[in-house]
Amino acid sequence: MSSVPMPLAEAPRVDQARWATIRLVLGSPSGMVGVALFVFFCVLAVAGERLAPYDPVAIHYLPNGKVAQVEPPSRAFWLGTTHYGRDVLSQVIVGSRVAFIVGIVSAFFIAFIGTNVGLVAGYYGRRVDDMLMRLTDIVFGIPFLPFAVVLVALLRPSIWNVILTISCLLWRTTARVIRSQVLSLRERPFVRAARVAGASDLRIMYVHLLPNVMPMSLLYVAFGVAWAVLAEASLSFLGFGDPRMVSWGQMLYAAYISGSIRHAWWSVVPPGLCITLFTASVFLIGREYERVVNPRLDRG
Amino acid sequence: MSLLSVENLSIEYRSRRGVVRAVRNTSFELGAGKTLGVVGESGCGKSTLAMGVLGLLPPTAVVASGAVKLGNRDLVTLDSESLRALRWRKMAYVPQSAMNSLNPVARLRDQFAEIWRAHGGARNGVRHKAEALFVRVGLDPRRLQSYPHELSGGMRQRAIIAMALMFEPELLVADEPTTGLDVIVQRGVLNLLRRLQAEERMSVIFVSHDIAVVAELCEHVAVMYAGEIVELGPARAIFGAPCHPYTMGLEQAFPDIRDPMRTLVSIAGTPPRLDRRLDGCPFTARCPFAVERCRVEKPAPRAIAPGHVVACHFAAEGESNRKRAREPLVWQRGETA
Amino acid sequence: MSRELLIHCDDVHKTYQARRTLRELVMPRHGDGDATRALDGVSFRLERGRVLGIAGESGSGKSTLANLLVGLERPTGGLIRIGDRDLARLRGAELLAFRRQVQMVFQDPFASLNPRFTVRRTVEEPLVIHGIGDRAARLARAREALEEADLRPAELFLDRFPHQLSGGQRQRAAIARAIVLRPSVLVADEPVSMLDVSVRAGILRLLRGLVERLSMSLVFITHDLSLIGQMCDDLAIMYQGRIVELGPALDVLARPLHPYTRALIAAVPVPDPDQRPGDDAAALLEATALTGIARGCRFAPRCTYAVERCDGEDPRLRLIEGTHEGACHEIERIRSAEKERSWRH
Repeated sequence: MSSVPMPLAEAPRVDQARWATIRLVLGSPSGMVGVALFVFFCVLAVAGERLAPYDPVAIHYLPNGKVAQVEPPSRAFWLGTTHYGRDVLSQVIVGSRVAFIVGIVSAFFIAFIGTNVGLVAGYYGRRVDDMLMRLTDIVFGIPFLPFAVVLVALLRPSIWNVILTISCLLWRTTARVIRSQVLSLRERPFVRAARVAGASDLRIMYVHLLPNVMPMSLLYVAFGVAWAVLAEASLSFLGFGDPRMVSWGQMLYAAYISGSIRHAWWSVVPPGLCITLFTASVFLIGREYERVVNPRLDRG
Repeated sequence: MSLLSVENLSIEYRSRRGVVRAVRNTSFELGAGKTLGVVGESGCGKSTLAMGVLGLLPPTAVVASGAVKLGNRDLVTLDSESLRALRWRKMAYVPQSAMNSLNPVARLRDQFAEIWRAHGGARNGVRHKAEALFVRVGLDPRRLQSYPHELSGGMRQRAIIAMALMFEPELLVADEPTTGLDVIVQRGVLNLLRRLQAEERMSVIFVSHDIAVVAELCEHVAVMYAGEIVELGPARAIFGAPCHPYTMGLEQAFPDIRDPMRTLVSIAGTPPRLDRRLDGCPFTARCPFAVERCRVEKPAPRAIAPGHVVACHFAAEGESNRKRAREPLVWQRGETA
Repeated sequence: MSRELLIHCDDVHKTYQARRTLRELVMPRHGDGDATRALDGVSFRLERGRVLGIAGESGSGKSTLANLLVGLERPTGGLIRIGDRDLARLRGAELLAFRRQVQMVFQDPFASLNPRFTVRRTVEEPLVIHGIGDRAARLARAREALEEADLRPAELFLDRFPHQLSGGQRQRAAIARAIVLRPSVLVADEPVSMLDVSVRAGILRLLRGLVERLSMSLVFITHDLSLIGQMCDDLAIMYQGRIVELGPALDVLARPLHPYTRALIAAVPVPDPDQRPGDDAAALLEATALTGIARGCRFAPRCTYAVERCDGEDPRLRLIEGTHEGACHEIERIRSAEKERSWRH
């Protein structure tokens, strides 16, 4: 019997396939912008204190001995100072670190909890699905900020409690989306083939189905980062953030409380802009990634 | 006088990843009241050709060159408004999986009415017309009140055919009209189509991968491979004495229930990629009779008998080639295109 | 010459109950009005080294039968014995061991392969599940399976993904996966219906060859009767959950006993422009789903040979000649009136 070759010589190998995805994401203008922004913030977060011109919590004084309060941007302080005499630029740079920590850790939990709930609910169906989805519906019904406020008020306001709050609530969307994906994948012959070969339910869920829903999970990691950063900023702005950490939300809070929000744009615009740009960058990457990955998912 | 004349039509799909030449330089004529079957396997371009003739190409596809003349109008040059005026009235289309393309939330009679009004039908009279059409296609007129999901696949297919006939078009293009239907249901639809052909003076183009369906329904057959029409002629000639090696291979690969023990042929290799330039004959890599000349020189379609056109350098050697084509081993030399 | 009996099905039933809504729990309805009888008393045997074709249209129950044979579902009644194991009784570790005996090839080659697995992973997976061999041994067996499925050289295919293969190659990869455990029984559910015509014969020949080389039995499920002659030793025709005709494939095709078989054969279009089938086959009404209990022969409403007896009495599958069986009261009468050729001119 002859062999059945095809133009395989041109087909990319396993590792090349992943690079192709990355290249495609970078290929579009929005993808490039998103990645560029994200990388920029990465650098800020990693470099942190080394990049910042001053210690973010150090109070600065004018030559005449008074605190350099609400000084407009100058050569010494590129983005001016806050009401408490701290350098805005340094705070913004160090604040990116908090954004990353809160963002990425929360996003990981959101994706982890949501994916598992979605997988189990979608795969088993029937009563298990009903129970898990009712739970998800309840979580959907809980309004985020009021719940967060109550939780943080009961526990101490700290960065870990903020992460806990975010993770407890925001997995709900991921769960719904992953579940619907699993529902459709479950009927595909390759799942039946795995069962016929003798795979256990657990194996089918985590070895066969999970790699197929991973792209979606990763997408929600991306969104989760954005949601978490916004959530943290909101909590901080309301005064429930971790007072020991310098975050963009804390900066807005401080500006609001001190009243400088009303006349010192340099104490408000930089952190606000950072929140916006960081969230936007994550969304842009996520959206491009989804566009690239989805056609291939649909081809099956 | 031919109703439809396709001249050197080429259609391309353009996207970020490149250009795919799905239909290359195809030409054929269709007389009034005649039927043409377009056969080929997946990717040969037959569906694209059908959509191109009707002006129903998706946004990523363009007619790169050529003309499609209905009467003496070139459809390629018409704007979308003029094309729209022609659609349903002069030319009708039954797409692939048509039974799944009915609006699931509208009753059939409303879907009829919508098409009727959209293409200039008079306000009254659609109900009567729809009932008459349903009877013609063998459906109970009371079914007009049903939703699509209340009908079986075969019944939905008949409903779609009824809709296509609404304005008594001059040209009907049906893409895989019986694919996906059960054997007995398919038989019903095939009989219906044959009956309609006899009654109407409609020209019909059937696109199908199933050569048996085409043999039954069509007077003329065009065989497509890699975007080109490799053989075109009367059904009797195509089935009785095919001259293009691909046609021979296709027929040898097709089972015939009257001869269950005949060894079927499998053509080794795969069709060439359509995003590349194709020098020479596209079938060279898989053709048992190919020589060096085939690789470099594209065979021009030549008429070897009235109405029978073949694009092969060895068309004249049909008889001896056919004999050799019956040996399954001869088809195993296929390599990558 | 008697061969080892590999599949023994005896009066197999499979009934699906409609899902109970809360209302039904509170106000229960009587009778099994909402039950669907997908299989209603199916019996057949299959020996090692032979191919059984199962032909039927949608609603005939052939897919349900396939699911039962591979253990994806359990019968609601009757006996399915594969080798010496009773399928309905298997649990846990025994069920896992049984899995090595029966494997399946599916209709859609692309959808039956995990799009995220390489071919190597796909083919090795059954070995991993059953804990067979170490990495090197598994790779060797995977290679062997691929080559047996005519994907040569195996190296070229091991690291490819399904979307990089052609339709025929995907199906061969699926076949390699199915045979890597060296099963005794292979169930192929429409294995070529989604492939191009020019590659079908190759896949069919491959399956036939594997049956011989690996000493397996093959259950070949199809709706395309034209392929039966290529593949099958025996043929069963199914209609609405029952086998209505069973016998040597060529006999069934050449001298069909049951009116439904006749209609099926007559309805198939042939690649010959001069052949024109009669219009009688179109007199058949569209089939309706089988629910509730039917009294007489299921095919009677559509049968041109039906007599009064057919509406009241359900015909059983009975031996007519040799090993050829049919389930119809009127077989003898039809055969003697054969010359009238009601179905085809």
